[in-house]
Amino acid sequence: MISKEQIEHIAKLAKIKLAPAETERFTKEFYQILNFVNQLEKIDMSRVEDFLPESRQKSIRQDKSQKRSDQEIEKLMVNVPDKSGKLIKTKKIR
Amino acid sequence: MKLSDLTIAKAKECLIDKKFSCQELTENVLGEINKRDKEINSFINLNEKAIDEAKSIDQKILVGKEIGKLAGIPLAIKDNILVKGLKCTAGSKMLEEYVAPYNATVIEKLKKEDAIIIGKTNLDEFAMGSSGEYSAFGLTKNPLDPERVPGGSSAGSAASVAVGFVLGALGSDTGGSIRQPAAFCGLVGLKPTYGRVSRYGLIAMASSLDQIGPLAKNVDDAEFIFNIIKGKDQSDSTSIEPRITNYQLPITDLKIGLPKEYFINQLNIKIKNRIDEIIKKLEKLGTKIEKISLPHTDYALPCYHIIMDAEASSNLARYDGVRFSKLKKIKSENIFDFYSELRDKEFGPEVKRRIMLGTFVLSSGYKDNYYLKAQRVRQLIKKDFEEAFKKVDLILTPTTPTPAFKIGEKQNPVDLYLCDIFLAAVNLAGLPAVSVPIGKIVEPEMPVGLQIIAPYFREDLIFNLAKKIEKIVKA
Repeated sequence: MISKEQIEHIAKLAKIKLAPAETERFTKEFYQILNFVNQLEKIDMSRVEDFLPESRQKSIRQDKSQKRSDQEIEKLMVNVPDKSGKLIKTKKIR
Repeated sequence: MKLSDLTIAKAKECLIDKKFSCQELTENVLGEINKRDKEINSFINLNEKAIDEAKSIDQKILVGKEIGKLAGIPLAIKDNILVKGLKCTAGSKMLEEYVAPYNATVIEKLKKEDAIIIGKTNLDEFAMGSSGEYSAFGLTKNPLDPERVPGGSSAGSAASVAVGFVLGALGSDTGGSIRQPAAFCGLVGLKPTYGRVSRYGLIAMASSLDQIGPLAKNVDDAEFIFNIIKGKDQSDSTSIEPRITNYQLPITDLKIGLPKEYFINQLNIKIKNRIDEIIKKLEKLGTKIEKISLPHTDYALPCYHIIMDAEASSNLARYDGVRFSKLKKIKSENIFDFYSELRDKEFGPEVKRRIMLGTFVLSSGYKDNYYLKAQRVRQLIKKDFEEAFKKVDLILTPTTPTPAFKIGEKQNPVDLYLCDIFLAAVNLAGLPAVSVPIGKIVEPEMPVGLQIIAPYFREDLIFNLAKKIEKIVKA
């Protein structure tokens, strides 16, 4: 149902580097799990209207940035492993 | 009085009557944990300041200051809910060193009432699992039989209450993660209506399903904790205050529905018989019982897995090793290699499986057939319940098809998913539901639970019936 190549492609999208043995295992498990979720195929969907997410418009706030104090920023930065002042350091993009 | 015999109500009495102090109670709790939790493994981290916090409440009592409704009550918190200053690991290596910079709203509320947070409890990694076997910090055992699982994912929360370390705990329930361990450990576990309790400070798994709720030894205690943690919160836009607040309680003539799709062959016959006994006794008390149908029940679990995996894969995209973890030494050419290597190393097998499946069902060419279809099926499942609640006030079902199973018994992922067969539909519909213990079965001598499902925001009806059932079971 899903090939090894497809699993490798999904892993790339999911940013998870799989060892060859894991790719094998996932290929097998995907087969089982997709068989399980494919039960939905049995439902006659012709009479179901399109899915509309429930409106919770009222809870949307204005897209304004909020000022935070230096102490608050410092607190949030406590868990950043590699930083320079208020900036987060990362590896180069390419 | 023995710690394990205490309930929240009894402990409050004892504290007020000065039978013991908050400090003594807290020291007793920590002593028991140090002595016995090696075996059970219900806690990942303990709150080192717990005794100081207890002392300050004793001081408050001494000088006659007003104290909170949970003053001195030892509680445990699932380790995916942030408690400021304590590590919050979500049971994952990914967050092994993560220290919560703020309190979740539920924690603010508990602390305002002077509760003592004893520690953070073990869970299946990122709340993904139904057995408590999939934490990066080792599995949790069922205190009623250490060869068996406590259920999951709120495994440590259930185990720590069941063994008698703490008087209550918070868990989170995405597809049964409060109710199933409550049933396996003989506790009351409530999943409130979606939106009833703020999730600000809960590490997100599947945002349209997740809900925080209490686990406790009896219905009164669960209700007590629920009433403290509920309410709208500015910091969680999905939280809501129910429109109707003054309910008229139809206490005397409740009509209860039994959905035929939940009393199936997979249901352990001993559990079925136990439920039948309870129902007969309810009928004797004047409760009307009606057979109903929820026709799309069979599709709830597959539908749930598609939606949950999709949302989890999106929510867990934030774990990139750049913002929330200790510095990892990974040889990599660029940032994308770094992410992929790190995520492979730090996530466990079940988390990877769900991220992979979620990525797949959302991917180009597949999302119509999986994700969007599941969203439509979700509407059908919701409608089933809405129709049913036109006829009955509450719905009764088994909580689980079997009692707690043996550690290592379920190796196949789909077998483990089937544990939540009676639970996931409730999350898809956003309804409130409780698992209430209905005593033990024999061979194995383990507790089992009964699930009560109510219409939106009718937790009051749930507590009402749960108390009746509690009385029947005790009689």
